[in-house]
Amino acid sequence: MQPTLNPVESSQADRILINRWSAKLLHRYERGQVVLLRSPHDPDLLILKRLIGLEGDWVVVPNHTDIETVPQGHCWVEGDNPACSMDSRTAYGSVPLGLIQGRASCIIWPPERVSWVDSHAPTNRLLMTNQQALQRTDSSQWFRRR
Amino acid sequence: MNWTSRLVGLGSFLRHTNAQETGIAWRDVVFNILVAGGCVHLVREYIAEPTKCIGPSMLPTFNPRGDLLIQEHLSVTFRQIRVGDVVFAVSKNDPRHIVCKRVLGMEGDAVEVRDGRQGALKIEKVPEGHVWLQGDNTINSTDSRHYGPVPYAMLVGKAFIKVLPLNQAGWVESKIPSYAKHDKI
Repeated sequence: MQPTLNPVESSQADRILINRWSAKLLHRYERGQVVLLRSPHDPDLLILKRLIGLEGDWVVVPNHTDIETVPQGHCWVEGDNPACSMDSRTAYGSVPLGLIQGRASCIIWPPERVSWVDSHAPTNRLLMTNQQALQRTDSSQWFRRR
Repeated sequence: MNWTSRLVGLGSFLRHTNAQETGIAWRDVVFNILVAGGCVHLVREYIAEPTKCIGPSMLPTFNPRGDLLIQEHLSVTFRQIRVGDVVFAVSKNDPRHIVCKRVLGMEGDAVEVRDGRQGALKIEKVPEGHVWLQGDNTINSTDSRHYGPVPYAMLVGKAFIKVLPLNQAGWVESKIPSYAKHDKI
């Protein structure tokens, strides 16, 4: 997750606070959040990734010609460091939302890095959000009916 | 000893106060209720909790109107789930829902899957860290045949006692149905 967490110039590993209410109880998933999830390949492994796409989104996969549609109840997660990150691009594909354990809310240690974990959805990763895709299919069906 | 002095008991013992001197210490009552609530939460979260299993997908084993089961979380935490166990898992289609299915394959197993009663037979390999879940009612069940193998981390607990209805109460049997064969690869 460099440079958001554990940047190169920092000597210590970041300690972060996880908000477990938002995901486990309220089920609020928003694009751009940094989320903690269990690896689909190994139940003991916890991974921290940025939520890129929600169900129904059309995701652009790099080095791939086709476009991935995120299925129902799944999401698309990616690390901020594309060079070395095991994520939906390289290993997992779409990940079930049920694996998400919480949202990273703030960095609490080391003291000079105390801050909120910024939540921004990177541009140019999504071809269409699920809302846009829905409108597109609606209008195409409308044309077909005419 | 009436119920109020029982409620006061633990709190006053822990905080070295004497309930008899001050009458009912309401701070101790609140403290004890909080401790009891915490204990109940811990037991439900990590050890066992009663759960209702509603829906037709487990039909010969559980009634579709809803059976009261007790699920335990320990065998999921300690990786003791085996083929044939009835488990509760977070639904792969909707993270808000918990589904109740039978485990037909662990990671590395090859599962023979048939769609419906007379569908085509195919062999599915269960990938690393996943389990194959299927309802006992093969005709009316949304399970791994539709959404593929489920990550082990999405398992919640294992059903082990059926409480209601009382005439069918007893242990939940762990068995491999006759239609499902599996081989270790």
